[in-house]
Amino acid sequence: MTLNGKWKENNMIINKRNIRDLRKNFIRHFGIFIFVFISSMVMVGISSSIDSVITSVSDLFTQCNVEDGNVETFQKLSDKSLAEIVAKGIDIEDESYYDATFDDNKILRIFRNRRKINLLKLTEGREPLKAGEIVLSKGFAQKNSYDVGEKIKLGSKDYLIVGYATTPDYVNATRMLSDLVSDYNTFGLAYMYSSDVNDYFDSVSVKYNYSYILNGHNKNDLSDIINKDNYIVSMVAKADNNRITGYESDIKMIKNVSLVIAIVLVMLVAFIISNYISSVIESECVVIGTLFSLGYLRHELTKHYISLPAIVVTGGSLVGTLCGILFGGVFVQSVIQVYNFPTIGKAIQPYHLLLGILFPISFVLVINLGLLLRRLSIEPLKLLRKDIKRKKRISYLRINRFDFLKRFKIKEMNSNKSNVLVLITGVILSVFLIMFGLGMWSSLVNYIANIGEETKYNYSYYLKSIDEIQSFEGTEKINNKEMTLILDDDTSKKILLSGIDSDCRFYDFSIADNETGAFISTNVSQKFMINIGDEIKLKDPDSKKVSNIKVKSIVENSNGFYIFMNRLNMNKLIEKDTGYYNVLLSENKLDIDKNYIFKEVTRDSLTSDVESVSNRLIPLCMLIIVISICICIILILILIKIQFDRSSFSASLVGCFGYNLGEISSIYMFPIKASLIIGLILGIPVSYFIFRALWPVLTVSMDTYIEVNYNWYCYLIIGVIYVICYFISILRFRMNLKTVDYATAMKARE
Amino acid sequence: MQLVIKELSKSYGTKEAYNKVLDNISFEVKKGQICTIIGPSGSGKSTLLNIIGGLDSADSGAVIFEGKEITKMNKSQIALYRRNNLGFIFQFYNLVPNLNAKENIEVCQYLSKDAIDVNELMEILELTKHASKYPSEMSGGQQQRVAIARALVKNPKLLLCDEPTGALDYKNSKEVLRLIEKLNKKYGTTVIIITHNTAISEMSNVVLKIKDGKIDQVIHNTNLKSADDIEW
Repeated sequence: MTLNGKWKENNMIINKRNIRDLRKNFIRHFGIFIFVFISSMVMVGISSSIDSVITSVSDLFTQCNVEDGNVETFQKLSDKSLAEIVAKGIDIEDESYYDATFDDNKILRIFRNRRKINLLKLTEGREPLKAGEIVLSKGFAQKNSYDVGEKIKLGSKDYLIVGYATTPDYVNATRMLSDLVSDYNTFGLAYMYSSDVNDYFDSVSVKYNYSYILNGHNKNDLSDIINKDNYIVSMVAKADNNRITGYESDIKMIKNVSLVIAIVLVMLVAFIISNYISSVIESECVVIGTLFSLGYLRHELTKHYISLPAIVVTGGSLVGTLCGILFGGVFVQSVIQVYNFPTIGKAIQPYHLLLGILFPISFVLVINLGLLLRRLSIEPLKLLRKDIKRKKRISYLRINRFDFLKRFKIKEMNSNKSNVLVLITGVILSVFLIMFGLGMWSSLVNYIANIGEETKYNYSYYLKSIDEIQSFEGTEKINNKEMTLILDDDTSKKILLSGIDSDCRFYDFSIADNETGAFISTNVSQKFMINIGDEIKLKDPDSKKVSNIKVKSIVENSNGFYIFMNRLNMNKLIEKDTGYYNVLLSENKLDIDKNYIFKEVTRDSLTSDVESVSNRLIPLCMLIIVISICICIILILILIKIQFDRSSFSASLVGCFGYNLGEISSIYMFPIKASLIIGLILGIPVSYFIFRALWPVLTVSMDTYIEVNYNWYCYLIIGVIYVICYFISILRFRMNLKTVDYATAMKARE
Repeated sequence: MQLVIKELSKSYGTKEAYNKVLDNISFEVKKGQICTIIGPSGSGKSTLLNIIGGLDSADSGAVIFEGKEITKMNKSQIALYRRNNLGFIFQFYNLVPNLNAKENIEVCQYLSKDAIDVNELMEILELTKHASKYPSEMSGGQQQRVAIARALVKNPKLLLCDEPTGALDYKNSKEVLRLIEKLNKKYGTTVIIITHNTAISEMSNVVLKIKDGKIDQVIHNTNLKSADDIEW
């Protein structure tokens, strides 16, 4: 046998211990494996699923020629205008639609098949090739059980469903542009053969909508041509179109959250392993000293002691990454299914593998190799003499007040200060994890509840025109206008400037007629760090005028980004008549001609919309809570087991003196009980402040600010979890003590 | 001379706590000799052995092994000196608990380019039938035999034994001494034994009696007894 071969063979001899150690401490190693597995799976699963969505949607946009924007006109664009637009070099496509109502409350938005912009992407079947054929959006079809090959009756005519499809302009398939969420039960999209569409497009209810691709031209070039012989009702750029870009906010937030959780998990793994390695070196110092004496070198023993954790972490990260790639979609399913996405392909990027495999392995190894090299640099003689702790002055704790048992407990804890510190740190880290999950969930639940409480009116009517509107008793007139808030870093954000009267009954605050400043909602204040006394810049998107307004107050309002002004002063600011308004708020339903209403929103529909948005995230929160509780229990039990192993000799010795099981567990569980209590007392506020600081970063992509809010029962849940951990530990401690043979314990040498 | 100790001194502590453990110790050991160092507790025997083994450092003086001065070597040179030349036997065996007898011996096999065959060694030490036993399943005598085999498997030039029979009864002690003697003869290994047991000096070529850190007496034994013949 060659020397190298011999070396390899014999080197494996000492590593045989790894298999036995794995078997003996299976729960501990399995716990570490599970930690790494979960962190890699969550990191890779969520990141790859979200990146897959982003890639698939981005491919959809590219392949199907997503619009640069769309314009709704008062009447059909003339052939002359269309020719002029095309001559200018701007691509334009007639994407006018008609909302066909059927089955009482269902609406199918009918489009003609597209040729240039926002093309159909089929998820099943084929495009309509002749009259009588129709393609539906998948969500609506599935919710209402319309299968490909079946027929759907619209008006008096039956149409054969030949496929399901999505288009770039309806990735978030909401009926109104301002709707937060799609409702597949009642709203769907249909794409027909051109000749069929003409049956509908003769109707007066057609919305004349045109999508455009500017090809480097200015938006104004297009609007100037249209305005020559038509009137623009609205013009929405792609970036402002919630139907095209709205999906990004949820999924980016989830990705941020998953990365934070996974990083904390990897830190926990590194922490547990370093704690484990320390305890192993402590208990095996004589063996290590002997091996050094016999000629082993530091790097050889370092390799030996790191090999098992390295194998466990590598195994966990590989399996976790694989499961993340295969099943990661489950984590984001609740979010993905509300969107009208194309078929999502798997987009595995190199950084997913770095994140799932290389990051946990390298993080854990670097931390623990450092620890091992330090611990194994102790002189062999010191190791042989078990003299491995730094020399400290012995502190004599003088306690006269308590009985012997209490004094013993306190002294036991004092002599185990370093172990207690380790356990406290572990508790703080695990509390953070659990507070994170509970914080997300509780904040969302409270956000939904607050919206309901704050909305004091039952109906809001968004008006097209106020000329013909009669005055109604008990209503409040509001002027809402979308403005651009220009931030200090020159970025901007769309907000709603809301003009209210000084005696408006539906808000808890009043803005006097002589008040020219602004009252900003808590959302705006917290999201953009704006405080009372600051000056904000608001840009009118129509006139392009920028106004500086002083912030006079911060008012409670959870629903979106609102800035309030007195209506009179706001009208002056945006150059409207003093009496101008465009929204009516009312406690009762009003009898207003539908032709004058742009949108009617009820309190219930508003809260259910917000609920739908929040509910998409709640399954993920529950998943995080369950994972964090499991991890917390595993972590605490592993750490307590390590602590127990360290004190087992001393506990056995006390048993030899004649102490009973209850007394022994009371003495040796005291440091653990104290560590749990101290860890909780420190961990809860620390986690609260870290979560508060992280939350705005995590939710930066969301179009609202959700305030961090912990319900009282969150703290109760945390308390109960740790009480359960404590009692499980007592049980395990007692079971372990029962198995100790005191004669063997007496033979053991300290 | 294989091992030369020259004017070796070592002290601990300062002022009132000052303790001179070794005071100007000098002696020599030839290759293949058994050297026993005896003396009361605290006389400096273990410190002397640890300095020879590169586990401790001296304040002054020199340890020269095969012409190389150990006391001038740095940490990694000393680690290699131990790896290439030394075998250690401790009073309390210090076996790896979760490796069986054979594996505990094999652990040190790869440290040497000229290792002794494990099976042969186990045969000599009568460990073959205990090969698969773990330390907790063996008696003290059996564990010490494994520790001896572990120290010898790499075929060291110098075997350092720190109270090798200190934790054993008469019968097992005799057995261990018999084996050390046998291995010394078979492989020509130089052996230094630290002990309280004066009877062991009868089987040693050189006997050093140490008292208060100084060599009290050096005996060159011309009337060697075998391990079987010594009694205490």
